[in-house]
Amino acid sequence: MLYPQITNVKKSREVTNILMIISIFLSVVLMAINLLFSSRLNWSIVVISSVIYLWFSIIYALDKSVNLASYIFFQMIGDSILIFIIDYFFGFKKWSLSIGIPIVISVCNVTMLIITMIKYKKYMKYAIYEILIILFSIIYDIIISIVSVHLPLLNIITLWVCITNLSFVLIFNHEVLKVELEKKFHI
Amino acid sequence: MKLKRKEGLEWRKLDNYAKLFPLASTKKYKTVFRISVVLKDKIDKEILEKAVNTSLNKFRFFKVRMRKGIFWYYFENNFKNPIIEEENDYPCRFIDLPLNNDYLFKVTYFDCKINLDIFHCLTDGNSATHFLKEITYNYIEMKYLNNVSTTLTKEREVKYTTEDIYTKNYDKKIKAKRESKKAYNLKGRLLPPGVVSVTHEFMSSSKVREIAKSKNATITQFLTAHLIYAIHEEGVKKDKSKREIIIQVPVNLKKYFLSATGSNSFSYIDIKIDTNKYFEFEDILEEVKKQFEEKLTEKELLKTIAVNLRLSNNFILKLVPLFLKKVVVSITHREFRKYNTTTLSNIGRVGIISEYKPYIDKFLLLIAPESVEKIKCTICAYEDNMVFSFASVIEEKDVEYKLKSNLENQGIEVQIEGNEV
Repeated sequence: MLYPQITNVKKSREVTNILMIISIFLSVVLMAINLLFSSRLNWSIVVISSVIYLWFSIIYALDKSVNLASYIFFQMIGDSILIFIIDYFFGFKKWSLSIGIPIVISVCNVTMLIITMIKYKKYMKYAIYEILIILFSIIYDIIISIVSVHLPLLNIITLWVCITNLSFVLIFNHEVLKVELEKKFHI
Repeated sequence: MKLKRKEGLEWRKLDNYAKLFPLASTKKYKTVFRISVVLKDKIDKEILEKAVNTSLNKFRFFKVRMRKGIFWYYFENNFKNPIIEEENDYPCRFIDLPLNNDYLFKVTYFDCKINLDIFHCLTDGNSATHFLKEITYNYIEMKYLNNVSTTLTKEREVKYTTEDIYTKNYDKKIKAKRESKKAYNLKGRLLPPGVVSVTHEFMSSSKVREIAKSKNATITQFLTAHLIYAIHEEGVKKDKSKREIIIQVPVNLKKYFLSATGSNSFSYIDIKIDTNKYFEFEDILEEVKKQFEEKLTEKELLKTIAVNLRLSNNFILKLVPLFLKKVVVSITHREFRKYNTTTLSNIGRVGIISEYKPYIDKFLLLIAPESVEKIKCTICAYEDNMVFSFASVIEEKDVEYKLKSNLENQGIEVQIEGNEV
């Protein structure tokens, strides 16, 4: 045998096609049910946009050239937007801002922290995206604290997770981070 | 072009062909090629690591990393050790330099095979073969041979320079134009990003030589004609295209201009077949032979060098900042690639010192395909084992199978092996 068996492209493509047909079929059925019981398209739009978002995520995740940390970063942004849209369509009770998005941010920060510990040799590849994730998290919390005066509990937890992540980076990976920042911003 | 001192680090400019590769390369257009050696025994990772590090002491030329200057990239010494890993991905992948300790080559192994993936800006197939041979010699010595005679060591001595063969032979007075006619490009269903399908067609060197000789052709001419015929039958006819089939054949310039450079030293000739004029294999072969004779001359090669160097020697272009050059070159180079149907690179027979031969089974060569040139073809031979390899980014393997059946029709037994994508 000259090459390792990596994936059977034809088989995985067949599975993808079947799943895509199921997704389209379900979307059409849900839209029909929505229209049967209500004159407005509301909840079915949320489900359909979630399905579309899921497919974009899968395709992006399957691209072997994508950096793992960049995937987490863009997933964090995408998830936050999707959660905000869902909240908005269902009366905008602001649970997305105080519960949904903080959970997404916390999970991403913890994931990055774990990846940094497990794949410490490849940290240089993840450094910039980890900083972007931390920056996004902090900026988000600052905006929420300005808007709502009192920071909700989950946002406080998010901030602590974020500070833990940042401390870990500064204590254990500051040299790599410095080099990466120099490389990216050298004149 | 000698290594220059700069703050304690040795550095050198990229040769005039190499300059283009990092500017044009992206994750999709990788400018990476792979040369592999298959031994008769399983590879031992620790010994391979030692063999690579020992070989690098001799081939200091490869112990470099690429840095960005304001106007051009440059090479400087790399003090890290190369990373040796088991093969767990598709061949000719984009070399992620930071994850590869900044090396412009990557050594992987699988079962009995050692792979050397190289970013083309570092060197060409000829020097890469020498480097892989050195790794193989060292590996075999460390694993199987206890005492190596001084005669053997002397036989393996390598002398190389870092001169730029293109600048050395560039003649400003030569007037030549770059052709701008789009070639026929193969159609097919693209594989997912990053996936490369490999098909090796194994055949007997002596049998191919015998049949080619009976038609008064060289092996390269004979197999080029076969490739064109297969593309004509399986591509042009089905797509009803009127465009020419253009095969780019790299040429080793060291055969024409005296040089011991380890840098890139290749040029190329374009073999063009009018698909409305030639339909039969014999006619195609006659036309291929004629074009090889016309184009494979010192004068014609100098013209190609002049065309390519005129642009990179343009004073205004030299002053354009690197990031702008990258944008412009990657866009224009994508257009230039449309002028070829495919590339067929023949590195010929890989010569091995007889003491090491019992441990080696075969050599393989691959060039990274991309969305424009969807298949790239190579030929290499070791002993009586010749391999015609396809690296492809499309699902269809019609051209590969057509080539096999055409060769078999002429009495050449062909065995196929690949990565089963």
